[in-house]
Amino acid sequence: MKRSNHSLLQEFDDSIMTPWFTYVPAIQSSTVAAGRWIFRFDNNHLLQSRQAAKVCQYFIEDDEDEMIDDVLLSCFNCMQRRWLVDGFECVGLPVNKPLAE
Amino acid sequence: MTTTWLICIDDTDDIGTKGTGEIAEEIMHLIEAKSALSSVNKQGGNRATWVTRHQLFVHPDIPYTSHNSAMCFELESDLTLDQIKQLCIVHLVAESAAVADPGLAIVDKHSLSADDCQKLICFGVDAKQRVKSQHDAYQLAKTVNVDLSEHGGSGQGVIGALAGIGLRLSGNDGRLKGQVSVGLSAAVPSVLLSVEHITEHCGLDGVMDVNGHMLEGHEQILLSGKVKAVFHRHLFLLLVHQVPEPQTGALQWCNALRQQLKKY
Repeated sequence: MKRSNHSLLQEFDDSIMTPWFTYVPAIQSSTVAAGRWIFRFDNNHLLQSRQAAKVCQYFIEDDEDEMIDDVLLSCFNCMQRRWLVDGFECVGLPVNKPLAE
Repeated sequence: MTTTWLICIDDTDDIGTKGTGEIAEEIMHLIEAKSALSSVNKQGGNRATWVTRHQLFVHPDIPYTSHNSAMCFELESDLTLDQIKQLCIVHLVAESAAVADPGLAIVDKHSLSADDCQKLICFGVDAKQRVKSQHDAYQLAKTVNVDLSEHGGSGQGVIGALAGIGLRLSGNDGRLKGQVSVGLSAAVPSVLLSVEHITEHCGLDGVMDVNGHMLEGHEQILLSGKVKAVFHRHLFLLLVHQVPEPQTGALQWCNALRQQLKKY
């Protein structure tokens, strides 16, 4: 597995990721907020990492040496997770979201 | 006349490009192919050589791609520093991602004094816990006579490259790149091997449990999935843990889980 369900990306509703990720807007203009998707848990929460990856259509298998979960389909094994001091952010989910009215 | 070289690279990749570990391994094989002698880890023709992966600090001020790790290896060669450096640079430049900031560190291991080693180890350990600067790295490299160079982008990779040298010298950091070959396949998903067999045939120095205890040669290990090893006490060691056998409840040694490996 390198990438799952890539052909469906256009239809992906990123709000389904919110049980596991918090969207943090960073730069705001009149119509667009570019921000970051931060994993809500720490890097010991294997179950949550696997649940999130199971529904995510942006998963890309990382180098085998960088994986830390024995179950392949896990955000912890995804090339698009960027480790933080106590967790990770996802750089694969869309970061331009319309601002709430 | 051969020299024992320590070589480390960092910050060569981007999402979707070839990993730093793979590039390090390729460079190692390139140098081996051009040298009269190959890796110091090869003994009797059946001992593999290993690239070690060293985890560095993850912090908002550090521009890593996704994991911030450096890759280091040691080999013996009759090539000169200039020849080795040239081989490294050509491959680094060819294989690094366009947006990467590659750094390269090379040193004659036996030219380092105990004090030099200590300074490098301190730098490596420090780079796992706090933000270091390129200036810090170049200053130390000059002091201890490590050849440190940058090859694109901001050159920020010099920090990790020097830190990787220090961590490898410490002998107590890192996982081995790749998997230990024990004969697993789709048809053979698991295999039971003695510690003695593993040390004789798999290029490792021993087997250690997750609590740091070394196993005796006669003990049997059930190996399955990804079989990974760590660099600890200057040894390449298979990491194992005990699991109750489903039928009898007897404890069985098994290769470590990734979550157990991640602290290395």
